[in-house]
This record gives sequence, C-alpha cells and structure tokens, in this order.
Amino acid sequence: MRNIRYCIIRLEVTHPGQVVEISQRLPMHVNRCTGYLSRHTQGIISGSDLPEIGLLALEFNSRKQLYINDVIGFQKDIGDIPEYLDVDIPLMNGQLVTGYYLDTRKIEPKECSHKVFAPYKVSIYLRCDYVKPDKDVRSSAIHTTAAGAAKY
Amino acid sequence: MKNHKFQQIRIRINTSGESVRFTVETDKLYAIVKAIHVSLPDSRMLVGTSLGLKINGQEVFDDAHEVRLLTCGNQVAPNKKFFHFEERIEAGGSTVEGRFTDPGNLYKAKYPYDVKVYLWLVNDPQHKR
Repeated sequence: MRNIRYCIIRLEVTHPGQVVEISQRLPMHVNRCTGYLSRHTQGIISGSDLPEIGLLALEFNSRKQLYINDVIGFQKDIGDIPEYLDVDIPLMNGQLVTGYYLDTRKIEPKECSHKVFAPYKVSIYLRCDYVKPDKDVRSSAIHTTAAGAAKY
Repeated sequence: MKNHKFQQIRIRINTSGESVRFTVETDKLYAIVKAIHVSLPDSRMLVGTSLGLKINGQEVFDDAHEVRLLTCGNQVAPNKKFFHFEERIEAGGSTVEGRFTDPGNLYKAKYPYDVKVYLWLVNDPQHKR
C-alpha cells in the first residue's frame, strides 16, 4: 500500500530575468520521489497561452543528482487536471532539493513603456512515497538495552 | 446497497483572502475515499486558491496545495473530472479536516460565494485505482 506526501516548493519572481535559487529540505520520512509537476501559480494575466516563462533545474539529495530540467509555461484556459510526470528518485533522509529557476519572459520594449513587470509565483510539486511506521511497536523492542540491563 | 456516493462539503467564503477551516465526517456506510473534486463559481477564481486536507489526522494535502490540481474545466469528460487518490484512504466515518484559502480579490469575485468539495466514496474494500 502506498503512502503519499505532496511536497510543495514555492518560488516568487519579482523582476525580469531573475534567477531564484532553490534550497529546500524534504521531510525526513519520505524515501522516494515518484512524481513531479511544476506550474505557474499566481501573478501572470495573459489573454493567450505562454509556452515559456522560465527554466527550471532541480537536483536531489543535496546536489548529488541532477534529475529534472523543465520549461515552465503559462496556460490561460482551465483544461484537464494536471498530471504528474512519473519519476523514480530515491531520497536520502532529510536531504536538500536544490536548483534554480530562471525567468525568461520576453517583454517587448514597446510593452515595457506602458506595462510594469508583474511579480508571479511558481510552484513545484513533488509526489513522494513514505513508509508508515508500524503502529504496534512494543516498548521492549525499542528499549532493548534497558530491558536487557534490567535482567542483570 | 449502493457502491458509490458523492459526499458534498459546502464552504462559505465571505470576504476576500479569507481562510476557512472545516471539519466533517465521511459517510459511515462507505469504506474508501476514491477521489475528490472542487467546484468554484468561476474558473478564474482557481488561480492561487488552495485547499489543505487531513483525513483521520493524516495529511493528504498541505494547506498550500492548489485547487487547480484537484479540479478541471467544464469541457472535461465527467469521469476525468475527479482527482483520484493513489493511496488507500479509509472513509467509514473518518474525520475530514480542511482549510480552504481564497487568494484575494483578483478577478472581482462576488462575495460571499460557496465552494463545493465533492468526495467520491466507494464501498469496494478491494478498490484500486
């Protein structure tokens, strides 16, 4: 049986061409990342879809493995429920997810004269599996040394 | 007895940027929560809206989990409108605690409005996705 925890990394882009560094520690109990999804969350208002607003690179296990490179876009219409990209990344306990997000939105000079760059947010969702601890752990199993010492 | 039920949870949002906690119990006659769907009055209000969910004290979604990942547009086929849980989530009178957060008055939403969260309950103990 699977136990899933969705870990969310939220990024805020405040100026054009900004590089946002990512460094977030995952919860200790998750042991495998099985899905990845990232998307624009808030801020951009556009009458059409934007195929690229930024680039994302993600490394796992404290920079030991570069696993994900992605182009982030903006979708105007609400369509299907977004699906996770299936990945299979073993996670070491409590290690960092690191990387960067680079804003690549192109604002034409003409547009700049009357429009101000609007800050926006991007969210990265990691679907992680974890193992539930057994509920019926006997106290003697935990304190084996103490139990052993009590005999003598 | 029926094998499926769509349990509705209605949440009233009164003001812009409001964050509302709710607690309900799932129907005792159904064993498993199979899927979830969130319905809002205007699809533009999906941007930045979030829903946190705990069932039986177990976190299913963080409070910052976007509603957009749990819902879809009107043109989507009925059977694909729900977000299916990949893990097994027990129903049978489980306590559902949640927090719905309105992102603020971005699209001149009319307040108050009602959010409807639908839990798809099934009765098949062998249920798999």
